[in-house]
Amino acid sequence: MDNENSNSITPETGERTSCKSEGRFSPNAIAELDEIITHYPNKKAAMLPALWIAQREYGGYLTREAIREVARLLGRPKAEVEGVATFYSMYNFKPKGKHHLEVCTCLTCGCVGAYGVVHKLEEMLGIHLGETTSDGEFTLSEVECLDWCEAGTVIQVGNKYFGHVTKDNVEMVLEQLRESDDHTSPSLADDIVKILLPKGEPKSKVE
Amino acid sequence: MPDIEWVYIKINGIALKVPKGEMIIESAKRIGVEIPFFCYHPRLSMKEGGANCRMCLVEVASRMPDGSLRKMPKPQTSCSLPAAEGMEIETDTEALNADRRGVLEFLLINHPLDCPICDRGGECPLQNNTMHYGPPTTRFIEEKRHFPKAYPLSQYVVFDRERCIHCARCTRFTRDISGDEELNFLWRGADMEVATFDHTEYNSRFSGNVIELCPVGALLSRPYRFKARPWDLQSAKSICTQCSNGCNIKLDYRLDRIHRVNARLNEDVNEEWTCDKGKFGMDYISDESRLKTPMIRRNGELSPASWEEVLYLIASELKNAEGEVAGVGGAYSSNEDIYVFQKFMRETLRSKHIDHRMGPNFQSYNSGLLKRFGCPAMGNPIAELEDMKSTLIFGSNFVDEQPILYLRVRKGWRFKRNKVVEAAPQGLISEEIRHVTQFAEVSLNYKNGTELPLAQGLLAALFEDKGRPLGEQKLLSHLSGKNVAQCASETGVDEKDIRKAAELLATDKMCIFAGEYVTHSPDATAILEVLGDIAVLTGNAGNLNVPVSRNNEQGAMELGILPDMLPGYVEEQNPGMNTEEILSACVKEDLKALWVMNTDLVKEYHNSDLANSAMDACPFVVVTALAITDTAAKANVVLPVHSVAEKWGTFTNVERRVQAFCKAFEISPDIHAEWKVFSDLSSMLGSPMTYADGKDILNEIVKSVPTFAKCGPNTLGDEGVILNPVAGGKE
Amino acid sequence: MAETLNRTFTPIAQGMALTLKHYVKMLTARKENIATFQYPEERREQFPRTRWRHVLTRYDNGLEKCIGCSLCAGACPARCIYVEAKENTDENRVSPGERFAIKYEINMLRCIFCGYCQEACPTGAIVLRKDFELSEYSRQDALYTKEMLLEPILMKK
Repeated sequence: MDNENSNSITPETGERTSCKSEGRFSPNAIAELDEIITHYPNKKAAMLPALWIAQREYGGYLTREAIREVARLLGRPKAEVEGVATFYSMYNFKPKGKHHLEVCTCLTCGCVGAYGVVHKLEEMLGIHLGETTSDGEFTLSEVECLDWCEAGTVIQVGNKYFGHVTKDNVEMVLEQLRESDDHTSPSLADDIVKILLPKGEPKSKVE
Repeated sequence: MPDIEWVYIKINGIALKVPKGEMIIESAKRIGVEIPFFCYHPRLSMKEGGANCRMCLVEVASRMPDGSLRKMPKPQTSCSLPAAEGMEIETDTEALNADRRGVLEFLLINHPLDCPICDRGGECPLQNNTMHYGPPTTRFIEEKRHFPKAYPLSQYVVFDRERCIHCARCTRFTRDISGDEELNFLWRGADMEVATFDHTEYNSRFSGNVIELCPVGALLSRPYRFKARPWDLQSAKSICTQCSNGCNIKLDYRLDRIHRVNARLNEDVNEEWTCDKGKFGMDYISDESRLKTPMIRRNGELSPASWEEVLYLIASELKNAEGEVAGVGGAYSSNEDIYVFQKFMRETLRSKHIDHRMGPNFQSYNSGLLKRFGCPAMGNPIAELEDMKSTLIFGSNFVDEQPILYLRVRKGWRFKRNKVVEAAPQGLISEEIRHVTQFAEVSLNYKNGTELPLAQGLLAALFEDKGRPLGEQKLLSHLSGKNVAQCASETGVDEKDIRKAAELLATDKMCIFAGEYVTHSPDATAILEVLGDIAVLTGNAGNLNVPVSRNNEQGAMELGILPDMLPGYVEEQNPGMNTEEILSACVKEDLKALWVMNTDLVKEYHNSDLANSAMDACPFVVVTALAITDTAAKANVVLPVHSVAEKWGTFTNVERRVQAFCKAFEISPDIHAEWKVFSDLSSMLGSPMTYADGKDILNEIVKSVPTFAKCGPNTLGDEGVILNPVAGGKE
Repeated sequence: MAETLNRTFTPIAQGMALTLKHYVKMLTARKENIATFQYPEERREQFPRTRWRHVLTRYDNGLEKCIGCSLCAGACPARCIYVEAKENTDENRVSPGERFAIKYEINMLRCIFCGYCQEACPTGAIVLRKDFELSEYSRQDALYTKEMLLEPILMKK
């Protein structure tokens, strides 16, 4: 569905390759941004959507060029854009793995053994919380409540949720993810951008 | 002035009348009630980031419609509390003291207690407020935040993130005042820190101000780092010499060394800001290179000599020259020096050949302006600029040429919604350089050298505008028959933009600035005529500003270091030679002696080849200088003279304001004031001048020059006095 | 005649007797009861809190305690202390922390030995100790520099 992003990420490392037109937004992205700006009273207000587009365009995380580009397109100071971006935890500043596992370790999940799941995942992936596997497949982190408390330990991967996860069935989650082609960060960004655009948009998607 | 609506409030039981909507923290100042604060600053906007330190809490009771008082359940920040009728405010209650203790305890959680080594220690608001209002001890036993100490933010500013209390003064300054918007908060939340984008260099022309604004020792001066403590320093009121804006500054010195420069409040000039050129550029005063004895050229080498020997030599040479003497320079000397210099040249040596101008087309423009508007350079006082509904900045790298005027214009844009039109040559406006372009309503980006057609285009657009009266037919003569479209194609500017700019300029309060691209252009006179026409046509005659750029250039003009003008712009009947003619005459060996007055002629004169060969050809060159400059190195005699820190004197700034500066210290008894040199020589040459000090001279100027009539040493005060208008000026 | 002799010699005898008495008393007295000291061969033991010559002390590891904060100069009522500070670098570490005193001068002719500097010092670097012999041959010599004031490094045994 979003092959556009898979062009920009090499599966091995998750790092952005230089094929993206010299650190600039693609024409499609600029069209999207122009459309989104019209929904707001001024350009400054469109900063969060612009950062989402940047996150998608720059391969799932915000590089300094991404921030510079957003600042340029919105006519805002770079420092301000960076200040806004760093406030929100869903903007990434480092490359994340292909699948970003966010395990809820809040009260309810914690009671039904979220840390057991975390430790099992750490053991299976050979990494610690906050780290990315060397093959760039998985990033593991813990998050606060994901608002699905009745479903036991919840793992969020982009816009997918896995409920009732225990340390015994967590392997199935990983297997499912391994089969999936989705790249968490860029596709999440893409979904959000789509929500921000009105029905009938986005304009001419580049295939 | 709109009528002010007054309201009656009570602070600590004291009834007072204040303008409606004034912040309570300001009202409290009126009756001397102190409210502690960190983040509040009257010149920074409260929107987006104000009222965040929570130190200025007060208890408020407001008057209800039925006349009863209702106390607000929680204390309010007085910096964001507008005064309303019947408000009763308490600033000193037990509950408030507890709140302030709490606020300070929180602020000190992460603030390291390294006050003894902090450069802010001794003049630190956090230190003072903690002493007055703070808790005696802390209950915080955990580890504080740690960052690398002394992170260099830029060439001038060093940043200690541990000490930052996140008051947002610096970030608001960069947004509201300087306009570079380089600083912002990163990682807002518990890990908040002030930073530039991507930790790049803090690139600003006004970065020094954040050092003074910072209420703790987080942002500090790099040159001043560990140089002295506040109680070691003495302070002298002074005037910045780095440009013609004449910022009021304090020279903080210890023994005979300048350690730092801080801004001095003058609402009419610099408010409380300085630019980096001034704040960090005054080191030359106590630099090692300062010349400490007179020098004479012996066998081709400059060697030290005594004052007696030097003055005797100069006197005999000048006597032999019999009037074939010229003087150049003076734009860096005080009014007193300038006056005595021209008097010495004109009356003692009987020479009319004096000039201070160094640019290529300086020869005629100011006299033209003078004849037309009676304004020799700037038609508007600086303080008036912020009230101009529209401003045209024409051919100027404004922020570099006139930093303080830039701040005023930007203030008008930021806080009074004024419009700015910029016309700058292509290449000057770039995306990265943040100056007028950033807030200009229209930017006219013309081809280099097409200033005249662009000005004509604006004038033509104003004429073609149907709403304009077409009565001023004589102004049409300056158009040379062009219409807007022709001018647009000639300058490479979109015709629509020219029309839009002209529309913006057609207001009853409009002023025009002409920068160096105009004054250095070969068409300078014609461009200024056209710009003058624009001012006249929009009903703003006299609002044409051609600001000078050098320290006391205005004073040199006012006091007659001009071949064709005597002090006070009295026309000389038989003008002498101007700078170019003087230098050419030197080359032709028509002059026997040349006096260069405290100016690096070789570097500053636009044609350095001519200046060099003139210096080489002239048989006797005297240079007064602070240090051995390139010019001084070519002189026959070099005389060490006082800098701004070593004498009392006055400067005339760009808006014709005469401001006094005070003596701070003396570097060596063998350095004399410039006027002393001239008066000594004059006495040796048989026409004694008896001045005891600078004030004597200023008194004489006040008596003899009508424009200076109000500028006596006792009437100048701390804020200076604007000169009387020049008589004349037809329009 | 006898009257005259009596008036002349009796007081002398009385006086000499007193002298003799004290002489004998001194010869027989215990050493600690004697008020007179044979200065400079002998020196009086100073009181424990006596305030005389300043010393700039060091930490056990040899680093200087003084951080060049100039608080002593600020506290000094005679304005006799001059401090100039500099930044510590890793190559040249003089004191712990960021700052050290590159110049530290006390004008002993001006000093009134009030001890305010000692009180103001945040690190206990400047202390007034018992060395009271502060006479100099010239005024210039009475300007004590940092090198003179600094405590020598203790060699570890």
